[in-house]
Amino acid sequence: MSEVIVITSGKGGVGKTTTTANLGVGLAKRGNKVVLIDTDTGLRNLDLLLGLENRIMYDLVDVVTGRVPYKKALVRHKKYETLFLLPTSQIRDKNSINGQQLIDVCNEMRGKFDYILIDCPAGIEQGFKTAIAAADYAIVVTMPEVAAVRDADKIIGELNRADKSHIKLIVNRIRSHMVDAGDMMDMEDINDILAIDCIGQVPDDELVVISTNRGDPVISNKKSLAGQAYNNIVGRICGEQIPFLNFRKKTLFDKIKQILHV
Amino acid sequence: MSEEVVFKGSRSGLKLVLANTVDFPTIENLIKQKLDSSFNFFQKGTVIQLEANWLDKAQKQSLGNIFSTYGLVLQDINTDKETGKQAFPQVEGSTAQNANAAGSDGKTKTTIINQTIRNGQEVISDGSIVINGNVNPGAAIIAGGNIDVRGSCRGIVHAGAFGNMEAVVTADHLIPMQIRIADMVARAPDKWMSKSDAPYPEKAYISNGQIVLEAISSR
Ligand SMILES: Nc1ncnc2c1ncn2[C@@H]1O[C@H](COP(=O)(O)OP(=O)(O)OP(=O)(O)O)[C@@H](O)[C@H]1O
Ligand SMILES: [Mg+2]
Repeated sequence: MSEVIVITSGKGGVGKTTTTANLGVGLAKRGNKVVLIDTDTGLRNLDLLLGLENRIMYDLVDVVTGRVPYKKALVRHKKYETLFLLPTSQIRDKNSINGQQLIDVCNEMRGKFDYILIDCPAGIEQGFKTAIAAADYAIVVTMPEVAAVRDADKIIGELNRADKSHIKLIVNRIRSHMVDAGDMMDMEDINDILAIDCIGQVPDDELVVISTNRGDPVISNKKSLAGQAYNNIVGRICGEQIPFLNFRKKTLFDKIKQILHV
Repeated sequence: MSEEVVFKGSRSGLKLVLANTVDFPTIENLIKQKLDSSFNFFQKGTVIQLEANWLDKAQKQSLGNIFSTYGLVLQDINTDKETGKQAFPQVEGSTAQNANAAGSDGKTKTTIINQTIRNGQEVISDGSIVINGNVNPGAAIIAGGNIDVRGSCRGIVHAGAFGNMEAVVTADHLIPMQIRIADMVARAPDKWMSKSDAPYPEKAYISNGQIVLEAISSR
């Protein structure tokens, strides 16, 4: 049976698409059969992050309108053989697809894949409602800043209202020096406000941007702390117990403490 | 949540305030959304005063119909009145007093909610409200009586919303954006407040014409 997971956030630009691409690659590397559905119709870019832009023939709108069967629209990843992308249309808008149509497509794919990940557009309008309709559970991505957390909170309320009560949290782009200086919210405050199970804390890492431009998600880069964090999230989704990374750069004081064993 | 449709407590009862910046069908939708998404704990027949003199009669009627499907009564306070002053027509005096009496009765009903109230959600009751959870930034609690938050209170809380100056707000961590009691307002400092800024339970109440906070040891 497949698990259908929607990746959503409310606020735009916090890392939904980056998360979807990385989790997709990570799950596929563990031997899972994975399909990623881009529902950000009109603003698609999941294909770019995966380096698959030039292989798209048909899109989600073609599938839901019955022009082609879903298999024809799937794009297989060139490097990770069990990873597929169902791209969306760049020219249509978010009203071209409704929730029931997405449910129908997912139902058709259920059982043929281990994981179906849905990349959600920003906002709480039609595009959001469509994206969450088919999901068994939701991953809410946020950043450690007041506005992003507030939008995440709103989204959690909306998910509850749509009877999606199985919700996990990923906090992305954490800059530990800013958290330490009190310029970014810390995990304690975020957890206190959002009060949902956190499955990932991803540091801000410029390797994310570099890998995005190369079309090869950062999770494959062993040197990247963000990549390691995404790997840990994949493990947690697969049911493993993994402690959270400590990606704080050691200060001189920490090093002295370490030497003194305090 | 939209700013076009707002419930406000006042000495004379609960008011619905509508801005005339959006068209009427939008207003209708926003009201329906609000009544659906809010946790409304009004007794059936609770009177809500409409403050929107720019609506015509038919529009007011259709709003009244929406409220009656939720068991609520919408009352027009601008009927045939000059709109400059905020005087309340005598005809409605009786209902306004009812609301007042319910608020200052001391033995009002208490609504208990066992969940976190999130951004955009609103809890409204003519009695007292206990939240077993957090009240998050962007959430609002409006009570005719007291408000007790058994968690972190970061949203907007309005106790004694129908004019009860004796009403109190208590919370395990009291760091709200705004506390209102009756018609007094206290605003949070202009910096991000963390839970560690309010580590102990506190109580807010009116003393000498202003809202004061006081640590409480037991609840
Ligand atoms: N951990 C990270 N460290 C550094 N940069 C990051 C990180 N995560 C995401 N980014 C960058 O942030 C930007 C926004 O990311 P992304 O497109 O994934 O967000 P999104 O939530 O999908 O946005 P939208 O709402 O527009 O769909 C991108 O430029 C991405 O490279
Ligand atoms: Mg995106």
